Amino acid sequence: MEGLFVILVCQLIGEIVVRTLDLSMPAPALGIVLLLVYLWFADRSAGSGDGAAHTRVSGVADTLLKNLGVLFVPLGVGVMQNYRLIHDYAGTIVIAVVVSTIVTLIVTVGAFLLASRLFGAEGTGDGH
Amino acid sequence: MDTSGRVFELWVYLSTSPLLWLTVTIGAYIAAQRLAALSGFNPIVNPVLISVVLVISILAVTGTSYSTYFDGAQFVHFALGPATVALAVPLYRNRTLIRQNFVPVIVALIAGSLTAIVCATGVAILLGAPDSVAISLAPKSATAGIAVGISQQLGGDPALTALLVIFTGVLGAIIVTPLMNLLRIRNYAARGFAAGLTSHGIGTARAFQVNEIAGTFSGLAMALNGILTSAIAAIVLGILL
Repeated sequence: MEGLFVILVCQLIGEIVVRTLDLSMPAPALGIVLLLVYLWFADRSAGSGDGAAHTRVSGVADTLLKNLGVLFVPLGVGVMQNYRLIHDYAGTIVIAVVVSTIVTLIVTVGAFLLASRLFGAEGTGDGH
Repeated sequence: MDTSGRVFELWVYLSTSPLLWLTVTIGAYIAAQRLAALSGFNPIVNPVLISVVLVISILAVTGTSYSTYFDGAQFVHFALGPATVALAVPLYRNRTLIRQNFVPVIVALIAGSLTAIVCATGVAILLGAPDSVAISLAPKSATAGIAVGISQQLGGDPALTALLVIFTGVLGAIIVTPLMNLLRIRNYAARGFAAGLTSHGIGTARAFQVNEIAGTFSGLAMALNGILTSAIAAIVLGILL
């Protein structure tokens, strides 16, 4: 219960900050940052490297994340309201998604490998 | 009253009650998960996509409006916010991994996040799509809870963005393994990071099937890209549109 409370408080503060400062950023994104800060400080003040704060929240967090898929369904069903937009621009949408998905995968993996080589990071994969 | 009258009365009551549509949403997802398991977790058989199609079909057959459906489904929908915030936990848990790979993680994050937004929006603009479609496409590599919020705030169509997020997730999950094998990339940290950055939770689920390290890096990329996309989407769109 305490874990859920902490997560909800982070989202709530995120919501308040986003609305007060009129930020163009969704509240849960700010909530992630706030929860990170909370975990870091709580562990610090408990004097343990990987202590109680993390354990308190991780039960609820893991349950939520394990069922992330079902949480998309109500939004996805919302498409039935504006199938016309999809129908009219189906070709454009498919091309944009296919091209950007392939390009993003290649650019990201390329940037990761290049930076690993240039800066000699430890790397966790086998090989290069 | 005759039986059919009673059944009709019961339907009139149930069809507008939140309980029915909440149950249908969860039931459709469980059925879809069974199908996915039967297919040996083939990425094409995506549980989210199947549940959406299943629920839309049920609503169409019963002549139920989306707003009636959403009265029930909102209870599931609500948990998307806290579930997005919860991404901080795997991020925090793997902070040592981030520190060890700090430069590649940050470089790949910035390069990938910018590419995802610019490429999708750019292609749509070049093909003559209206601004609302281009904006809806911009955050599609971010996790749904964040992408939909961005789309809403910037003047896109949140429902279209939700579908695009799922589409991008499924597509990335299907092509990432053959693409990386084709490119002869054997660094599973890099492969996983690309999967999660591009295809968020769906890509991460796929990455965990392939390799534990790939899955962990994919989860990191999903959380980091969610944060970065929400910070830069408005700026990038301001330049492009």
